[in-house]
Amino acid sequence: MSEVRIFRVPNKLREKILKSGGPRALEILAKAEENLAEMRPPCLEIIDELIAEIVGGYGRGRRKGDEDFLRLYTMSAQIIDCAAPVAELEIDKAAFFLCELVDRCGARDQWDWPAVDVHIDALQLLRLDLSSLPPEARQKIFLGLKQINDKFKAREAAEQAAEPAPLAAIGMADG
Amino acid sequence: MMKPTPNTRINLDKISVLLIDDNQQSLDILGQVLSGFGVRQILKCESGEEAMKIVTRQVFDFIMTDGTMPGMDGYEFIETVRRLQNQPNAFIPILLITGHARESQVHRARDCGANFVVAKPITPKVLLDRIFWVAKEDRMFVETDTYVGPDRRFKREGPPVGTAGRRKEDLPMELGQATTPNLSQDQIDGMMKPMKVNL
Repeated sequence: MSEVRIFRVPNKLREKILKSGGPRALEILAKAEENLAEMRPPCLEIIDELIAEIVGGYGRGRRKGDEDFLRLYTMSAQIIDCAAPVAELEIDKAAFFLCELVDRCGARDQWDWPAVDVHIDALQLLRLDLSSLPPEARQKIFLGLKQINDKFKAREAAEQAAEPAPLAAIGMADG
Repeated sequence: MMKPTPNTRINLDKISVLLIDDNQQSLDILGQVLSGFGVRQILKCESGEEAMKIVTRQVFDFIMTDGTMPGMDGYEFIETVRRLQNQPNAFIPILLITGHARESQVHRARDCGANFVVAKPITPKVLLDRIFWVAKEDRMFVETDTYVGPDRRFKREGPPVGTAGRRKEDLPMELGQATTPNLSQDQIDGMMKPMKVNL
């Protein structure tokens, strides 16, 4: 192995940030929130388009049997990309769980459609205005998604535990 | 340097930031937040390849890159930047942004050389906090055959068990080894829990 170098690098960012005369954190946060609010309509529009495409390609009664894992994963990830200006809807959480689910289904090359349906329903419900969906109902949605995620994780762990150890790991590689 | 309070004064108008994300909307969101923070020099790129050309020409104070992108992704971009020779950008703070990290990407995120990994959606408060994290960064920089970037160990807990350690301050393996058996849970509880005494 070649030489390992460990050294300190000057933190120029710190010097610049702490230069006197800047505005207060409160002020710049308010300005950033204001800027972000301008992004709300276009982001909601994109999220609506993505949900419509997800429902159209992967929803109940729309599936044709050739559904692509990567396409659904990408669309869910795109919802997360656009979610910052509408953070209060928490739609990114449902999209995150859908990414988790599709990632796992892809690894098995097998869809779990009932689970996908629950996630698509969650996306559509969370897209509603806050006034249309009480906080308790939102919490129930997240709890349901988490339970599905936990179920998949537990199943994976059980399968891994049941797998026979490789010969090398139990000292039998050399016969 | 402390966590920012609402009244902490922060001067971001002189810093230059490179943003990389293949999603235009995501780039716009980050740009709007940074612009609200008063950052004037923001350069946006939609691919790792394009960003590589820029970092060899222009020096930044700070880079934020998405992890998952077609072509050169954020992980590869950071690894490549960290190995640039005679280039100030090789040592600057880099934040890796992820929407959802796939199982296969979790280790890459840890090992690519990013200073921090930040989960989307990025709200102004979260981003300001992370910028402060980066600004107060004091970890040593490590260069090995397999890794270049800030020391991945955040805590000073010594080197992994059974290894000699590579930091100057790491103690020799002979020191600090346990000389007696581990305490049982009852013994530990006995030291920690206040006991009721009847007099």
